[in-house]
Amino acid sequence: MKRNAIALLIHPFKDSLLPRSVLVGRLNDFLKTLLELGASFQNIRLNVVLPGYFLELFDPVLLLQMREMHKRDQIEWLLTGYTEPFLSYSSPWLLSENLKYGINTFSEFTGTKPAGFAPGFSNWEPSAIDTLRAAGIHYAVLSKALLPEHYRSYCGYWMTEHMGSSIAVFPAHVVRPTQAESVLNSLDLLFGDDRQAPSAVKLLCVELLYPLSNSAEEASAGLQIAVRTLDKMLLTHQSMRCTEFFSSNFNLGLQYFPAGVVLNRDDAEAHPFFLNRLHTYDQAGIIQRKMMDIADNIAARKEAKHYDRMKKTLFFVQDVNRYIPSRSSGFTLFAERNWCYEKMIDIEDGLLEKDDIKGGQIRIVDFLRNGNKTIIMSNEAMALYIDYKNGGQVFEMDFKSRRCNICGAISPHPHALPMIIEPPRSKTAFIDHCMPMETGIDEFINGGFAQWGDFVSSDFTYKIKKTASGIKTVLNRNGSLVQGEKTGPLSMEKVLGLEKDLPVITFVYQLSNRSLASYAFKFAVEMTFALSGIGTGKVRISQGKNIYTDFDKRPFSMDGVTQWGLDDSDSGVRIAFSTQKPVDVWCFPVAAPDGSPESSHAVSIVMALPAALEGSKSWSFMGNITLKKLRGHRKPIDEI
Amino acid sequence: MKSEALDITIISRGQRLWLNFSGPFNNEQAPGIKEKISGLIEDGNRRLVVDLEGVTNIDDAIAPLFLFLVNLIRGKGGDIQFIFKNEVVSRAFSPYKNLFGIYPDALALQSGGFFGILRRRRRALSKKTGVRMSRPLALVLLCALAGWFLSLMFIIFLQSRRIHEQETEVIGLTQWKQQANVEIMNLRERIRPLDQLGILKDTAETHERK
Repeated sequence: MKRNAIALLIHPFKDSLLPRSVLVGRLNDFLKTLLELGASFQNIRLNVVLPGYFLELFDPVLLLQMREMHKRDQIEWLLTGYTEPFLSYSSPWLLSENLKYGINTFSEFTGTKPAGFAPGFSNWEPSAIDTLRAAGIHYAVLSKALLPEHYRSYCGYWMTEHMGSSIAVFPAHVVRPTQAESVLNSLDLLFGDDRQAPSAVKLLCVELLYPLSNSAEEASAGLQIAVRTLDKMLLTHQSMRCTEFFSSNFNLGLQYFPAGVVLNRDDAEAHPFFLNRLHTYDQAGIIQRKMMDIADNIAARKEAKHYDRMKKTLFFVQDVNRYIPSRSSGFTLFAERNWCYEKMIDIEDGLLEKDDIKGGQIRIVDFLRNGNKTIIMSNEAMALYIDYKNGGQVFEMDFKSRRCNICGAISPHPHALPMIIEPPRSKTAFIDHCMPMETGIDEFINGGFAQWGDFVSSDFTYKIKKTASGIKTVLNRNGSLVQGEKTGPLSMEKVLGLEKDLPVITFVYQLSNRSLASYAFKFAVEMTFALSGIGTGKVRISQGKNIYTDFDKRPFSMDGVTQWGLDDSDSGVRIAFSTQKPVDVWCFPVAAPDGSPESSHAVSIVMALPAALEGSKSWSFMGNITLKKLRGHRKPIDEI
Repeated sequence: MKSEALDITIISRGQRLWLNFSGPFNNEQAPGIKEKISGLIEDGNRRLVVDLEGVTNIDDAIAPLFLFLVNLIRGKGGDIQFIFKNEVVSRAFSPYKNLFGIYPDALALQSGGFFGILRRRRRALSKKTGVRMSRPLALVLLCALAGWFLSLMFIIFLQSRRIHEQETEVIGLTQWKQQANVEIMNLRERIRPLDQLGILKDTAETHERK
């Protein structure tokens, strides 16, 4: 009697960051469950999908028993990489290094190389086939949702090719622990849907997800039920490892798998245009660009062995879970975003140290990879990322002593079009507004004011300056200003600088009226800061002897001040402002994409002051922002 | 978009300001780059190093641009040094190669006497071996090594002095021996007539007979 085959894949995963000790405990529990099942059901073949770093966390004694199970041909190892890399969001070099490192980890801890590849969220990129083949991977397992609908019922495996390279792909039913029993009980129906020649042996891949983030008991119970159900079916179906079927059966044909992600981790629907959706958010693109920038830097270095620690850290930033927006994980959560920045700023600092660079550094590079240059000014204490084509805004401000990007706020609204940052929707810093004189904080928050100037998102020209006192970028724009019913010319020179190796940003605005008419308007500089203490009651604004709190929950303003500071005792950061002229300060919380101001951990600060320019005259405004470390900041994150 | 293709990095290393260019260097970028470098010269930077090794394509107006900048900075008492060895840039700069200070790599450019050589050697060895040593530990090791060398030198000095004394003694004895031989010869000559007359008995022969 012909027996169809079932390949049961077990895929433990975690979406969000977990403390190391918690993760180790849950992984060992998973391994114990697996060993018990292996001992009880010796005729069941299991395919275990793991990222390489899980192996480093397992109890060595349990891992030794797993080796024995592998020797008895009870299991087959599949990897997701050293972490779970986002294929479409990685450079070929970084992906290749991640896979190589993952395979080496498997060889070291399990004594064998993994046979297949099963990417997290079935995130697939056809151009990765070359990299996979070069790494010695023979097949991939992807969700059947990536297939065209009328091919999803076929039971077997396909060959897929792209640009002359090919690899076998097993389409799998990706199921959660609670669904496992029902799927396995309906196997006859699933095999029946396949209308290919009845003589051929059919294979059905079932990828059982095992969540480690929570509900470990439910996952363990689901796994046990699945294995028991499979054991009952052994008379009619054979349990197989993927390689066994692959080596003894021919493929179904050639099938093109487009790039895509299966977000729900079940067989719902693939998202081939997921990257477009991702780029309607702030920060995802910046984190990825920063990662690519660091990867390119490391890849260009000759003594690769000295950068292994940095590469390993970068693999975690490359993890697909950091880029999938959800309630419990992903870049939309401040903690995860901050974690990524912390890791990357640490690597950048290490690279600068190795290069023996003293004093400031200016880079003019296509950091955002959108064809426009970004001016990156950095010194030992901080780094500023200026997009001079988009209103000269600062979209990243790294405070190196605390390993954080204080400008890492996320906009509550998605972008109109897929792009990395979209002024003024994106919550960046040094956004310059020219508004009617009567504009107040309420009009500003509601957007109920007329934008008289054209400096918010327009392009500037730039010059760079490097002197003994520090580095500067001089941004210029010959713009215009609406005055009454007429539009007049107005030039803006905006100078942003870093002082020597200190965490001090100096800013100078010089507005020049190039007409004979007089101008009167309110000039405002908007900047948004994201700090872990915002929304938790651990921030305060100090101005002289006055202390203000709650501005992270409701709007707040101060009039005619020249010096004030924003203190966050949670992240241990003080942002001290000093201006030459008295300004009105408007503070208001920024909501997260889910609408709650508490989870955004961001607050906007606007410095507003009246500007009056007579014909052919200039007006200037200058000040500085100093970042300082505060004592008693939160403990370093040990999460992975 | 062509004018946006070139990446520029400006960093300070010691007294020099390094400008690294990478990507295609087109004529459209020449005015912008001229303005930027002129600005840096005006800011008081007098020792510039331009690294063009990462340049993938270079148009014909770029080498004359650098010629202008070299003249400008030399007029202010400074200099621009170039680093490249790739074929594309070498070909573009070949008509002016005698006017520019061109070095194949950063190592060839760096000089600083004995300590400079030591510093570079330290960096190279550190990169090669991955071993980095703190200054106090290096000082202790240096002292130990110097002490070992001094002891060795002292032992060599003592032995050399002893050898010298022995040599002097040997020479003295040799001279004494030669003088004694001469004296014996003279005495023999003097007693030869008596010996020939048989007045003297040959004591040596008598001794042999005995």
